[in-house]
Amino acid sequence: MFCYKILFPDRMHMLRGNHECSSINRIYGFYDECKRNYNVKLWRAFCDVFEWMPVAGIVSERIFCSHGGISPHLVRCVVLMLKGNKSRKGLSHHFLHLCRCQENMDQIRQLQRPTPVPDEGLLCDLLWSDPEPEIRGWADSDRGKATGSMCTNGVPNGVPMVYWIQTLILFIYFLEFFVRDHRCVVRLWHRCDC
Amino acid sequence: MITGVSYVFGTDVIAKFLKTHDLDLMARAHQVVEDGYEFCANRRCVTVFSAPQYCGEFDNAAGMLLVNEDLVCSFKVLKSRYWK
Repeated sequence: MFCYKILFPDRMHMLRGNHECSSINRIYGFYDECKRNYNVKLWRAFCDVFEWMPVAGIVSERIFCSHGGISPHLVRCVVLMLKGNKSRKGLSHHFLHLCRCQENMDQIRQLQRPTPVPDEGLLCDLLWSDPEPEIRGWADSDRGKATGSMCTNGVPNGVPMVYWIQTLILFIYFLEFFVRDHRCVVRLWHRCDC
Repeated sequence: MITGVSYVFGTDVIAKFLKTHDLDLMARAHQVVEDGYEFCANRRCVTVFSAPQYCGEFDNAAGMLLVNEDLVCSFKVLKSRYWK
């Protein structure tokens, strides 16, 4: 996938997932696979790159993309700004709306990189949160609890490339050939082979 | 007690977020879904999961979200060669 990013930097966009973090992929197979097929230095190099990856994207101003979801830190900001803007009666509602959105997304843009994934906060939530149809509002997640993890038993034989790709949401513009033929996709994944 | 990482959010939160930012859809990954993709929140949120047979413990297909120039969304679903 990184090869494609290098080849088509403007047409290929990759977002960071919660496994693009050394503390997670050290445990869940990526480290083992790097070590088995190459060396630990390569794993460290990947981790360095992961720390630079963007965490959210918007497709044509219509589709919001992130690995996990959204964050109450983001929403709280909206509420606070709504209150703050009440005093500015001279400004039109539309203008205020645009201001809020801009400020809000700027929160994400202003996340400093490179960075590890923290245990809490905006960046953590964008990569770790989940939608839950059964509730209203926000609730604590079970993720990361001792028995809550999907791979509690680890992956004894390491996880192949295609498995950790799951952590990336992939959007391809104009690169139809890439997705049109699944054999092509399989071949590309294998070509990276790391 | 060990606390979990991050939060879960309800359909109302998604609707509010999309409305606030004048967006149509939230696309995300992070959860294994059997068919490679799965909608929630009245089709305003979609989970796309592109690793088939995740960790060898699931029988899930791989999903990709395709967005064309007119922003019409469709899905490409790949099933594993080793599908039982």
